[in-house]
Amino acid sequence: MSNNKKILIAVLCVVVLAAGMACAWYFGYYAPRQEALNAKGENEITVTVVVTHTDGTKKEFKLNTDKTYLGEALAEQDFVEAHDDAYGLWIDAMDGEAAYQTDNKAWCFNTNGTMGETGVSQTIMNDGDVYEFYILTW
Amino acid sequence: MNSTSSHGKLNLRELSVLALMAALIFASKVAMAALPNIHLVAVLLILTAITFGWKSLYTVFVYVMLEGLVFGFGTWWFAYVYVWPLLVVLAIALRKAHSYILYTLLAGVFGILFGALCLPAHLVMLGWKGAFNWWLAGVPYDLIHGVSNLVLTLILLPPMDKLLNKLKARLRS
Repeated sequence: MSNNKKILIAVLCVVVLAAGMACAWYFGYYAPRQEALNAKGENEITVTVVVTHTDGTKKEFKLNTDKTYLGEALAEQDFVEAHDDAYGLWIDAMDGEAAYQTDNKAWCFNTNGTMGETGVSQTIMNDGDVYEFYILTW
Repeated sequence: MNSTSSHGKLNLRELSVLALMAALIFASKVAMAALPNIHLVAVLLILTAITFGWKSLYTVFVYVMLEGLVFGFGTWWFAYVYVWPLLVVLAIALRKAHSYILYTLLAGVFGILFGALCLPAHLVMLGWKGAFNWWLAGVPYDLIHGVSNLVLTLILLPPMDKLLNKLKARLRS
């Protein structure tokens, strides 16, 4: 088999790999999320945000919001300081307590007791959800 | 001073160049930080690997340490410890063929599979389901990474390879 044919086969394999991953993303991630979004509609919902500080104290905030994503709802709140980066909203401080990556700290959260699988900008809220925020140190 | 190094040992000139390559890789990544997953890390690591061989592992580990020292030692850093050296090892393995097309394909495939390669490090924190969802959510960025690696390597690697080889020849003179 000539070198050109080998290169062509390699290129085709790369294209198939990329196409396969794109399909996996669409059917496994994007389409189910769009379905959840469409089912949700634009009604106002109530979610609870629990902020656990490093000294162990907790503060609870009830959010009444018509936003779809947790990040959108948090961005409107006075107790949240955040900034946007290429990957979405990044929480800098909650209820006055800051956590910066340069200090090896970050605000993380659980959704209804389970560790969040996506960032706040990609997390779709449902009525009654409880989001527990805490500082992770490494 | 003996300007040619014995096998595996570095002379002062090589040490300087390899350290500067690490600094260049890190600085280029910071400079392009606004573009998600578009950077010169893969191109420059492949370039260093094909020019300096196994000595380029010094460069990659210095780069990984710089990333950790500046941005913090998160879960992603533990992935960097094995993923970037893997690229260097694969580039060294392809040296015999010395084909820019192969290096370009390596860079492209590496970028596409970057998220998957980082999975073991995230398994510890997120578990199987969480790690898989983390990877799936990042697929668009992996595709951007792969395509950008492909294009940047295709355009930049040949001229940079010639330039670095000229520099390497001067190191020996």
